[in-house]
Amino acid sequence: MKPKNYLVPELLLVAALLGFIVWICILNSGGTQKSIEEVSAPVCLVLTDGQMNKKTNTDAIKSFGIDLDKTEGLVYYANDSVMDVSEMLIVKLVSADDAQEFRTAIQNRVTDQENLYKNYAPDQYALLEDCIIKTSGNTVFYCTAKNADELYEAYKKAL
Amino acid sequence: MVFSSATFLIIFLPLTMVLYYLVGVLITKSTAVKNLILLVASLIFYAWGEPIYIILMLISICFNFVIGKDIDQSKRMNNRRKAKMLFVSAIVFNLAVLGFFKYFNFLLENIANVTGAGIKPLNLALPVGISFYTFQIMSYIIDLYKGNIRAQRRLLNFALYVSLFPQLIAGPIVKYKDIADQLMYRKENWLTYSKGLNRFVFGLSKKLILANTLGSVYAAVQEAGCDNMSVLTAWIGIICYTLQIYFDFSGYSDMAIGLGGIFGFSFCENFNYPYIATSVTDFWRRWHMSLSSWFRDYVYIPLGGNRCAVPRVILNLLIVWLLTGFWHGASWNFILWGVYYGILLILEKYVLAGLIKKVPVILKWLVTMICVMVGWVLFSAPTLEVAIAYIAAMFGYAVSFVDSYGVFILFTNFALLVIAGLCATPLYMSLSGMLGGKKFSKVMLAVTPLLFLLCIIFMISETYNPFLYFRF
Amino acid sequence: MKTVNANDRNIKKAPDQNYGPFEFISAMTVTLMLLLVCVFTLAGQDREYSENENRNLAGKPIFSLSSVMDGKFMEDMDSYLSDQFVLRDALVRTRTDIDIFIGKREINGVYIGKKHYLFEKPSEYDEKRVKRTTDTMNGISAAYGEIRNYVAIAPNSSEILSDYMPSNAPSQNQTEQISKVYSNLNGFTCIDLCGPLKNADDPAALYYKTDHHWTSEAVDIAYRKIAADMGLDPSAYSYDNLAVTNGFQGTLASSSGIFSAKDTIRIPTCPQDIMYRVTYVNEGKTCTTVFDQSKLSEKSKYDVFFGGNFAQIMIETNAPSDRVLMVVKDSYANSLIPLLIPHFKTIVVVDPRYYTDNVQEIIEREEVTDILWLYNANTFLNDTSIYGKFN
Repeated sequence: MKPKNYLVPELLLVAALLGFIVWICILNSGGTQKSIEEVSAPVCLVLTDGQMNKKTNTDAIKSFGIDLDKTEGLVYYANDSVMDVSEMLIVKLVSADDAQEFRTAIQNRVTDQENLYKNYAPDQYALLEDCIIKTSGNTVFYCTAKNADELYEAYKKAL
Repeated sequence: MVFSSATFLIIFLPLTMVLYYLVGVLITKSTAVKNLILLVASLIFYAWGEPIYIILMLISICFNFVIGKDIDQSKRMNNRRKAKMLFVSAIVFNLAVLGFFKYFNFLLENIANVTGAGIKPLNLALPVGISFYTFQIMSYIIDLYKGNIRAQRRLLNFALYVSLFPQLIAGPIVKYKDIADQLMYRKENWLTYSKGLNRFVFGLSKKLILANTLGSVYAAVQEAGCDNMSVLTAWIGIICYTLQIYFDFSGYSDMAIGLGGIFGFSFCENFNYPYIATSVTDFWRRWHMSLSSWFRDYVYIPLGGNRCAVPRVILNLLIVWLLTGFWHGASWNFILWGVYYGILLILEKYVLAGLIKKVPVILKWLVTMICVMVGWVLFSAPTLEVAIAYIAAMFGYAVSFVDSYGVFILFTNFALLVIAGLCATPLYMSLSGMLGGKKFSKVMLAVTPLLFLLCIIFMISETYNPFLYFRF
Repeated sequence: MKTVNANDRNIKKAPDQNYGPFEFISAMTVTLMLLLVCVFTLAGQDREYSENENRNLAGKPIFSLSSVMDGKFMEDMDSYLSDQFVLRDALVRTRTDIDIFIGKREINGVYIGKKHYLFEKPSEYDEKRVKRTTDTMNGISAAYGEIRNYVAIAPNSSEILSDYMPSNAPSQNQTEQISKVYSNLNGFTCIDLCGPLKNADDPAALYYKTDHHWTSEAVDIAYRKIAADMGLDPSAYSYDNLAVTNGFQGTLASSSGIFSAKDTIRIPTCPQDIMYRVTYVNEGKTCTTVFDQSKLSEKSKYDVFFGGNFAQIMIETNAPSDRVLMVVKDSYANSLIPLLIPHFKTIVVVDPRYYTDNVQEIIEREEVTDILWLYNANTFLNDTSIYGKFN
């Protein structure tokens, strides 16, 4: 029986492993070169009329207690009514290392809001429970809204 | 997916069983079909928890399958150098995969800490079960190279060996040589099936009824923090954790062995009542036996085992226990935990051997359990500081000896602790001996379905999640 | 060495010898249970709402590539299956029964006391947090020297009904905690509610069994004490308490899952000659009653008082008084404020947890003459919302 040569499949599989490692690292770090305006513009198009209004950076600091110096830019939308918890925050960070810090800040905000609305309005509480907080490298996306999934999809495409 | 989840119990398990027995056992009667059904089920099972890392597992399976065949061929052609080279590359490949996904981040963090360099950690998620399946694969490669086994000729069978869902994510670590025949040929019958299913229900009960309930007590103690902890509270907490980790892990092994039985496999045992051990050496003969035997066969003995001079044996033991600790996770806690056991075992072997013979059994047991519990503090604490503070609290460096919280959790969990404590001893087996076979069978008949019902109650009630308009 | 071997053999062989047809039958029973559960859960009608848990149950997860990739689909599937499990409510109830049977006295952070009393875990005293709150309060009292400042912090059931707490349950001395808070305050008339409540004839009637609020009996005592300390004349108006429901199962019942007792809610009758108008400022809603009877048919029946908690409520009355009261409060106050109506020209009710602006604005707009801070100890000690409402 002639010996089979296994070298080619072996090398191919090692290459596949390296490829996978590179892919997963890219997937994990994510990140974007686009400016915050380029990322947020298509997302804002998905917003329905009167759902949220643009807020200033100061409002974002008030709500989330975040450090503006660590961001390259941010977009914050929220509903004006006390009875509506809909809001969306997209932050582009100077360094992806701070992503966890921002996520924690957002998570704290959500927990505070949940505690507030538990008694107040079950439907609003349910929205908060289903909120989306995602990091992709240097950008953090947070949204509490009826159509949060849609907004997140739009954001992913815009990255 | 985990065995104690609703998706597994309600959908995955019934469907897999029906398919396996209907199509595999009754209609086609072919091992290949049975294996294919199990393989597909296993891949879905893994992908359910790790939709991305399944690619990594598949690459790993294919590479080791191919290189295994290559090693086998080189050995048959007496090309020793090539076989050795292939063997080394295979080991490097597997260790590299494990090292990158499990330990690389830890390494980077420590380099950054020591040098102060601004290295960014990767923060990759750890692929579930990677330590288990990598070790299984390595047992195949090593035994193949040593000539203990022949290479598996079918990718289907090899893939099934690595990914077999009962033991995929938490062991036991089944060595290829123990299961090779069963992959090719196995016969299911009502005995293996009912034994397997009963065993599964026992394991499920250990996890859902005992481990989870005990875990919530320990979590509450931990949450209260070490600052105001009384000695009593500290001990109740760690006793709960000690029992929890046993029931959790051995329950998982029972479920794995039971599920294996349902599909005609027979896996090695993984636990043998570790908490009745009367020495630390004895404890490790009873705890996670498949892991200790893996390290014994593939690390300790190749290093020379205990057939060398004493200093070398001590070094060997330290290496093995350092690795055992590190295997459990990439953190200093686990390393310390491993070394702690290494030192205890060396002490037992060389220093205390004479003393141990003279001490009454009950005292030996007590000292062993205290050593084990201190070990669990190291194992479970989030950081070293917490572990040290906790151990200090256990041994009297606490605000008080007894406080009302300690008494409260003692009284309100007393029955639970007694039941759990008894379940961790072989009392159940002694009962079966006392009652005799037939009577015991009748008791069993009532017990298993009842336990299963309890499991369902506990599983569903965990998800009780009232909408709370609390505090207002 | 020999004995060890014999033991090993016993352990390993015992099950084999014992396996017989009985195990087969028991295994088949379990198999049948597995298959039945599978069929029932998949074929059963999905429930949308759970009365016990007061929430919408999870529906069928939506399958999409991205939801599978990030694992959301799998998570949703798990919650869908357990939410829609056959006999879910009965199973949960059995679990609490088992827990209590084996001796558990704390479930989901609720203490299970004697005689069907459930208790909220008492809050701990966090120096820093309390200091921030009291500093804000002191700031207001210092800024408006002419305004009379009152503070009343009510003890919770764990303090007054300590005899009904499970034995040895960790507790806090709220009387001490409250006086510690009071000692932080400057320029306040501090109203002691612990004393009068402890001396009540029937302490057991002061708190609901299944809810963390106080009952109208407690409110009655507290009102007399507050009125006395604020210089109001409680004897000028007499009122009765009318039972409006006896099927109240409150927050503590919900969070523990123990629905063994029911409570009665009573509301006070208003003096005939007093007319008033209630305005929910942010909601832009006006009505002529402080009671929302529609809440009696819902789960949270305590909301019959004011319909729940709102950021800012204005009550304008025709009472023969020129005092304007601002109440800064939590939900304990909801059942007490109705009794204050006949004593003030205007009452502004502010709940800092929902009121996001500065209270200065209200004080100046309404020309407030009296401020009453009315809280229960647990909420006050945990509060982080008063801080920042005044600068």
